[in-house]
Amino acid sequence: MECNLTNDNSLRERKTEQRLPPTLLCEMNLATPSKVPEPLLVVRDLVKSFPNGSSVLNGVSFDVFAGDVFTILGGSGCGKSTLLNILIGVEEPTAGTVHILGENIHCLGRRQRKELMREVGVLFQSGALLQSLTVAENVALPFQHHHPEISRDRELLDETVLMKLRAVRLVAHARKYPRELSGGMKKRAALARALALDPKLLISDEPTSGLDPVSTKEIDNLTITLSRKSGATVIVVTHDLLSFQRIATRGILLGAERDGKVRGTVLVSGTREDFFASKHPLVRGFLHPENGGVVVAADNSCQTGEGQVNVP
Amino acid sequence: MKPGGEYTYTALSVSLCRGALERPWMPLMMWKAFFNRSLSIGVRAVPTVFLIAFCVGCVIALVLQDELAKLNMEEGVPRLIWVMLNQQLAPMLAAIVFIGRSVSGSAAELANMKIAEEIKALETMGVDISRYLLLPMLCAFLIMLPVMEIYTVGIGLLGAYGVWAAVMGLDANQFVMRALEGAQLKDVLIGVGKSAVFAVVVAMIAFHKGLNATGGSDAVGRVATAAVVSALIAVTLVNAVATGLQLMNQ
Repeated sequence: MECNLTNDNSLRERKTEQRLPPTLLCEMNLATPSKVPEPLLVVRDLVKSFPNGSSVLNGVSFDVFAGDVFTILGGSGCGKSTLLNILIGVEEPTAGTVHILGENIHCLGRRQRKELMREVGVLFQSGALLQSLTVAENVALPFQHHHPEISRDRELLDETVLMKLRAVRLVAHARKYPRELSGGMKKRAALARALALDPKLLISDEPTSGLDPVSTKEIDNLTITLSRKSGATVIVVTHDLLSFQRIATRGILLGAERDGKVRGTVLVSGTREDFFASKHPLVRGFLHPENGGVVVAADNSCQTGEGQVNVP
Repeated sequence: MKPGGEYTYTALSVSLCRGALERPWMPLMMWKAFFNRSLSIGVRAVPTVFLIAFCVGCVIALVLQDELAKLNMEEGVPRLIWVMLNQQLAPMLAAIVFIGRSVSGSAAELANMKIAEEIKALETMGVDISRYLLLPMLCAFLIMLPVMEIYTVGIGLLGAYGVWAAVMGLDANQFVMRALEGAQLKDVLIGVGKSAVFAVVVAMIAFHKGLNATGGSDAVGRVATAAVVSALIAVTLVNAVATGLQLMNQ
């Protein structure tokens, strides 16, 4: 894995840019010729293999732009969780790079990573709320670590936490422990914590798994509403088609374990319309499971309702 | 420690030292964690320690009384018990109770947090787990184990006095005077010092085993067992080395 040293100063540059007065920023924008928008997340040729020779990701590449609700779709064993772990920097890729806000996440030192992670909120599948802390304390945790000046002012911290909890309608449960909450409430509390620092990027791992349809819709709506309010770009890792149709602006579909040789590769990338317009039998099989899906044979051919076709 | 990487003993030690030295003050949340932990590992262990220390005190007093009476040296029983309890028995007894109750519990708790992605969540938030999670635990271990050791000495002496009073018919004054005859502060400091070292050793084992847990819920039980076995072996070895060094320096 190569670390690009030219990006070392970009965090400092970004901080300088944030400190500039808005008027100056406007002037800078006027003076600069209009460019293609810089993606917030750039993933290039990601490969992840394990010592036993199995490979879960095979050359995954995609870009996520500001304002996107980007969905990473895929069936079981397609490497969604591995991809998420690589995106948030807790797992190293075998090859390829991940740049978040211009930084190669896997080449950052402790302090730089901490700085960068202020800009990234992560909502885990299980919620991952700390069981020993109340809901309010869980939401206060990012402030305590990243904004000691807020956490020293008790009133300000309490008010900020209440504001975050109000947004997810959990004020009445602020003093409860996670074990006293329902699955949907836990997800909402985790969402409040993930968005506590108003991150530029929210990465959400199967946010609706294990929830009933009403709670699923509620979490989807909250994710969209809150990220729009805070200006966050959202990446959702899911296998839930309904959620995909409800929230995604763009996305990718990864080949699943059952898809044979195309496991861990990008089958389709683009907008929702691109997904539904795709002629790829595995994409059609995933998007229309009611037609019996797709069975991949050893010779890489697919048996669909429309007969036998070869995987492109 | 690199997020998601292996938590080696070296990485944990460096990270804990850095966490303690970078910002020595503890925020309110860490104080709360520290007091809760101290309460569960120290105060709630009092009945167990009382029972074990009292019984051990009684038993060694009976055995020593019986054996030393044959040599006509039974008056030396209180002094022997004082030395044995302070330098050997109390640090080991307190450590064993501590390992059974707290090391297993802490390792299982950390393993559970690892499996439930709580550790991953903290790391991706940029929260230093050494400072926010491990340091309050280590402080609680470091304070409560020596306190339990002192308590064990006291209760052990009480048990021994019970036997002494029943067999010899002598009063507490005589027992205390004979126990403290030639006693030195060094005796107490050796026990307390050993307990502090044991606390650091067993805490590191609990952290290492718990944070490196992999798999499902079955890993929690496996980790707790591994932590207890490793901690017992480590404490026994450290005690043997410490006693050897102590006797060599006398």
